[in-house]
Amino acid sequence: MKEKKNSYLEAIMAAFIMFFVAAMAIDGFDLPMDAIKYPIFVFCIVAAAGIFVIVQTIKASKGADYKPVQPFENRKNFLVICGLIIGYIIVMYLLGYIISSIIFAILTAWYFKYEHMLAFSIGVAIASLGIYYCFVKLLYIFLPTGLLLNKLF
Amino acid sequence: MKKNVKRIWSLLLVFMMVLSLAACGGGKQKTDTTDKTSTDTEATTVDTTEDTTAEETTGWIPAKPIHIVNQSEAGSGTDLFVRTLQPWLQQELGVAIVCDSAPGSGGKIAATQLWNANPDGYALLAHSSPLTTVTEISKDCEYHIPDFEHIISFDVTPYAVGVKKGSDIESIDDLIAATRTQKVSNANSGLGGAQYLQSMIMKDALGIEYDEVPYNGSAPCGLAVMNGDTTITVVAIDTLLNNSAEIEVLAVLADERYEAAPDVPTIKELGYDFPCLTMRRGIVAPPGTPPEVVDRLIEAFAVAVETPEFQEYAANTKVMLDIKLGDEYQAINQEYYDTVMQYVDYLR
Amino acid sequence: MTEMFQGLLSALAPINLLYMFVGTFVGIVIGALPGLGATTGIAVLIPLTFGMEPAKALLLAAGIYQGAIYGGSITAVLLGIPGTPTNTATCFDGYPLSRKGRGYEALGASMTASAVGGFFSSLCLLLFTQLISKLVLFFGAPEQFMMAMVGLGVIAASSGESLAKGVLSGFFGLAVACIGYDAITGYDRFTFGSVYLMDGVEFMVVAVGMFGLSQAIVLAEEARTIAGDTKLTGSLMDGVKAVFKYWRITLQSTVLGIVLGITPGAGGSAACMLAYTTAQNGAEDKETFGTGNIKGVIAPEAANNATIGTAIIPTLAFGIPGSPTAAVLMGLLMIHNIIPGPRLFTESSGTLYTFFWGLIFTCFALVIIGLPLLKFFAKVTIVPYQILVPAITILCCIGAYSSRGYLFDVFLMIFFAIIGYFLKKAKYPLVCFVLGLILGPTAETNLMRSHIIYGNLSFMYTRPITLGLLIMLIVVTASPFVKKYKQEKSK
Repeated sequence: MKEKKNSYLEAIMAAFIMFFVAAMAIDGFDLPMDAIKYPIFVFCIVAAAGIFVIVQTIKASKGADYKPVQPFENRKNFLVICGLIIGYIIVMYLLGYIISSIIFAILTAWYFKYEHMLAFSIGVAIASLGIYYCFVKLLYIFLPTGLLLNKLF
Repeated sequence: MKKNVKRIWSLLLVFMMVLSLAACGGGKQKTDTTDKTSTDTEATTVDTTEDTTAEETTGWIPAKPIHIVNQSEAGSGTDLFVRTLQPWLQQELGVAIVCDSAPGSGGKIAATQLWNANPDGYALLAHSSPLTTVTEISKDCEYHIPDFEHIISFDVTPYAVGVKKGSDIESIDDLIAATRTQKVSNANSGLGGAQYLQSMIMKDALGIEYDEVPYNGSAPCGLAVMNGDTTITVVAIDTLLNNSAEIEVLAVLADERYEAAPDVPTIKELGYDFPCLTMRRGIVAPPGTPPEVVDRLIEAFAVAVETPEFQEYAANTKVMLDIKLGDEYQAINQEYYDTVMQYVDYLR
Repeated sequence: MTEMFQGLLSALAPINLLYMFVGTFVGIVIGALPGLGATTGIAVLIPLTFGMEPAKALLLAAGIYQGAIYGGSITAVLLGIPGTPTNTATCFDGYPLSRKGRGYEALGASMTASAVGGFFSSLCLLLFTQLISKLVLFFGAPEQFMMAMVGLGVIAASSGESLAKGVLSGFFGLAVACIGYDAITGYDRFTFGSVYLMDGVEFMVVAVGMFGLSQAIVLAEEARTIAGDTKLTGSLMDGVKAVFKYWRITLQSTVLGIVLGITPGAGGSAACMLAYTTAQNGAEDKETFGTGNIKGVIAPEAANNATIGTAIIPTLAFGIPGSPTAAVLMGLLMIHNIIPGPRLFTESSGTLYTFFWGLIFTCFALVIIGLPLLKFFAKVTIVPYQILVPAITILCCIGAYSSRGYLFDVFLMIFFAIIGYFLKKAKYPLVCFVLGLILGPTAETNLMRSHIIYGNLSFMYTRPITLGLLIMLIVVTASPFVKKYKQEKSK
């Protein structure tokens, strides 16, 4: 059985939260005292709790019956799907909702080895157009139209 | 493998059915309206295609939906004005009118967005003066209200001083006396807003002090007085009149009495004279919008506000209509700007 | 009394029943789509109802309101995406149930719980409006502050094994809630210079990201359908029966929803969270909450529909909407010449009573429409992940985009999705984060207001209701420590 490496994920997340809150505090540095009395109180508790969690995690990891938390079941898939999603939004910004959705869905299904790609592609195209129609034409809730497309047309 | 194909089709079918049923749900309502309305509402189902029906009037013919962006959220006074006018505007202009909201920051978000929008007539700002002017000055905004293209202003609503019915304070003189002996607080609709500014002007003129307690909008101010949180509220008078069972209006801050509240004395009658701002809600277009577009919009709005339904709605909600179009409205906003600038010290 | 009876007869007219059903159906669909909710539904409805008789317009609105608050639970249970903010807590146990193949049961339970909660709340509206409206006036800023504090105190009790993680999670939520324009001081706080953050972080964006998109990522990673290796077991009726089997939870959550609906500023999202945590803390099997305990579906769904009837009360009595949806509803009423305020019951009682009965009947419509629909929808849990993951992602992105129309919100959603993914893996209780995010602003604003009004903190103990809530707060916060102490002692 492979020895599972210790990931200290709880401690890392605690550190992340503290970092985020610190960034907020730095951004709000020039605000008058009145406006940030309460937030400073909140930030202090975050700092205290964060340190507590980090210490707790390190102490527990030295204990006998500690089961390390696994951040990823499958790291490759995780990174791929995150990359696909971020790419989707960037393409949506440039080319608009319909095109980006179709590309994203087809790429995702293809990467994860879906068998019936042709049927899927047709289905996705229909569904994307259908959603666009319902939201934009019927409900007047507008979906992104894409920077590049706007510039070209 | 056949099972999977079946599954895709069933999922897609579900998806499309759900969406088409939503579409039908929306569509059904539209056809219902067409059957039942007495006024002509073909326009509500007009789709936004390039071939719109030819208008009898000459000038600009809109070719796609027009967005009216509101500085307050859905359900607020300004928003409801626009929604009430929407069907007749659609009928007049032949395209869909979409009501959007961009609330927040005292109107800064919406006004800034529209200041930078394309001046092609397809995006308009629904706002309330002098709130956006006060915000402009107090928050260093990039927009300048008098430079927008003005379309129409609907109402003139003065501010008034309200207290809970049964309170010890029964007149402005009582209020002045009370501020010297006890802790008095005022519910305002937002720090740095127009009603807040009016309160500051009043305090200065009467030589009194009280605490300012900010709330989000006018309606919570009325509630704050009713449940005893604050002593008074200086707020738009229609908020106070719509709760007349629990709220007493001490004075209206204007030169003349308010038609819907003829028994309420004006502050001037009571012997105190200071500048009174009045709230006007209206529609403006981004600066640089071509004159023929502006003229067409003014025409369309002028027709829409004459409809009996809109007039009735205004009467029911105790709003006095005072329609001002185009340049007249622009002059008013310029005047507001000059007045508010005199009190810029209160805002910085 | 006679108007009530007339209203009943009017509501039973076939054409009016049809309007109710159409409204409920449309509401369910709108609610299910993340990003659309009852507020949008009714707002879009307003111009379409011009020329309609007021009663019919109101019956449509009643259906949409009831249907939308329920409809969001469908995506919450099946896909882990809250369809409306009031369905956030339903994701916590509803989605794990789907992952175990028990989707039918979860859907049946949420439908029935919604119907029951909505029914009792609308009954209160019908019978006790005048009485309850007087109660609204007892909840000033100090009371609202203390109520929010009690809700936050629950964080301590809901932390699970690690109090520190719970507190960290909860206060992280409080911190994120500080971003944006502060009404009390008039400053834009912690906006990192971005105009998009000036209004704060939109709750739907966070909820859809943290609970919806993060679960889609998990699906892709684990390469499985939602139901996984298990087949679809159970049936809708199992869920329906569960609502009555655990009637104490249903009743308690309904009461909680009714009370929170009345108080201005609380609303459905707070109600569903508090009902969930209350049910969790009172249950013997509290550790199973979050892994698929049916009680965790019943509690929030009963509570969120139970806020509907009573949120309408301050709207009608004072013109002060109890929630954003109530605000738009009020607009609809005013356009049809039903003016909130003291004159309401004398002038428009006929239409009003039809509306109230309509709200009651739409609860039945929920069940009648739900039964055939849900059987169909539950099949989503056995659809292959290669289809589902892109579909869920697209839905989440639409949901995040459509609240304000900014792509920024979509990026923000992805940010919270990734954070939520890791927080969940590291066993941080996300319940606490959501509690902090929802209740933080109310707590801070009302604390500040009370402080300005009183000049000191005496309001915390000089007002009877506030004092009572303060005691409740102390009890709620101390209870996990007391329990632990007792456990240690008995060892």
